[in-house]
Amino acid sequence: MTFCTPPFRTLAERRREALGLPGQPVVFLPHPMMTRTAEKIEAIADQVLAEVVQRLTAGPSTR
Amino acid sequence: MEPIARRLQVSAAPAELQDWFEAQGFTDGLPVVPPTPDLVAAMVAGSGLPADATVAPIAPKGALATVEKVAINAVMAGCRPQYMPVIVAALKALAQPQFNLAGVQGTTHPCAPLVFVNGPVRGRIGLNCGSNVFGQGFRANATIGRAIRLVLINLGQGLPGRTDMATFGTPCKFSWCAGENEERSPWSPFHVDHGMSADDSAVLCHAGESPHNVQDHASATAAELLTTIASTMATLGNNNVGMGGEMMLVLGPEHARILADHGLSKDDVRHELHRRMRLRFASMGVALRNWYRNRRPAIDVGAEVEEIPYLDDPSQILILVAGGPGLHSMVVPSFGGMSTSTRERIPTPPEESSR
Repeated sequence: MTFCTPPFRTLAERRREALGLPGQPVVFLPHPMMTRTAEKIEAIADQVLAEVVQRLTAGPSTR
Repeated sequence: MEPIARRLQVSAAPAELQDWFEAQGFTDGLPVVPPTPDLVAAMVAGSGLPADATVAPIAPKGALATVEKVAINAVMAGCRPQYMPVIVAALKALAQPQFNLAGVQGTTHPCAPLVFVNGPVRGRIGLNCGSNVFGQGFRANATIGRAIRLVLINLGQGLPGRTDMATFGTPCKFSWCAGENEERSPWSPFHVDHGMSADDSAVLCHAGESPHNVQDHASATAAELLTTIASTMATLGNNNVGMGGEMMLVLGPEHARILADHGLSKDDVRHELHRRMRLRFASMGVALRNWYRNRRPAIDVGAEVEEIPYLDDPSQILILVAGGPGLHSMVVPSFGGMSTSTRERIPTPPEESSR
């Protein structure tokens, strides 16, 4: 599973194709991540946890 | 030789032809030399390799660069065939995993592959190592760096705003190739420091930020000069301070001579710079202070600590000598710890090795 922010969507897609992993799920996080406090990052993790579980257990993803 | 790549019939009118290349997204924004089959065949021959030989996968797309595909881009860039061994070696260096080409191509940081060349090949191809070494005026420097950029665009698909997410980029992304001025250096060449012979030729690839100048016309001693250089290196806003990795110091020959005349080896210079380069927490805001503290696990960055070494280890400083007369040097920060510089030997063409 790949985590990235929306500006890097195309890059993530090209990379997963190059690596032969077209079904590799990508979960998007709010941009930018680098300036977030630890507390905010934990809150974002809580927000995306359900999606992570769903994408990991639902089989190969589409885009 | 018949080309393997697909042939295209396009308008021969110069303006229409350039518009076509631009519309396909095949360029860096500048006009290109049309890669006709005869020019591509000559470029392939300059490599000394078969057209279908694999050079390397080029990230992020991962397309395999063959010699012929590299040759097409080298023709477009304006190269001479004799430059091909340098280009092939540089692409192999860029594809080494520790260089992290996918990251270098995609990052918001304004880094570009700096290709430094050592050895006799510099003289054979007319590569500039002296005055204006990072500037214009020399076909080998200008077009080798440009050929690499075109490969990164056309085979790697490093596309601005889509997969190349550099906030600003840098003029260095058009072309950045230089030779070490071995003849004016008081020390051994970089590739000899790394186990090669002076008769070998080699490339060093560094994911470099635009160079920062060190002007010091006053310092007459090594200690004074090192203080100036350390100050230019230890700035707050580059990737290395928070993310580790290598910084390159390209000493002008006159600065290098001052240091060597005071008895310093390159290793001494590294250690003296590391000792002088300090990160003072009082010089930055609270958020940045905390950010750096969280990213320096190798050293004590407790709340009571007021300053720490800017780099974790002196070995993070790469030292070369280049440029011409004048009391200037260049600091080239890097992408940081996400990329490590890589090296490749440049094979000697058969006609040269038989002499």
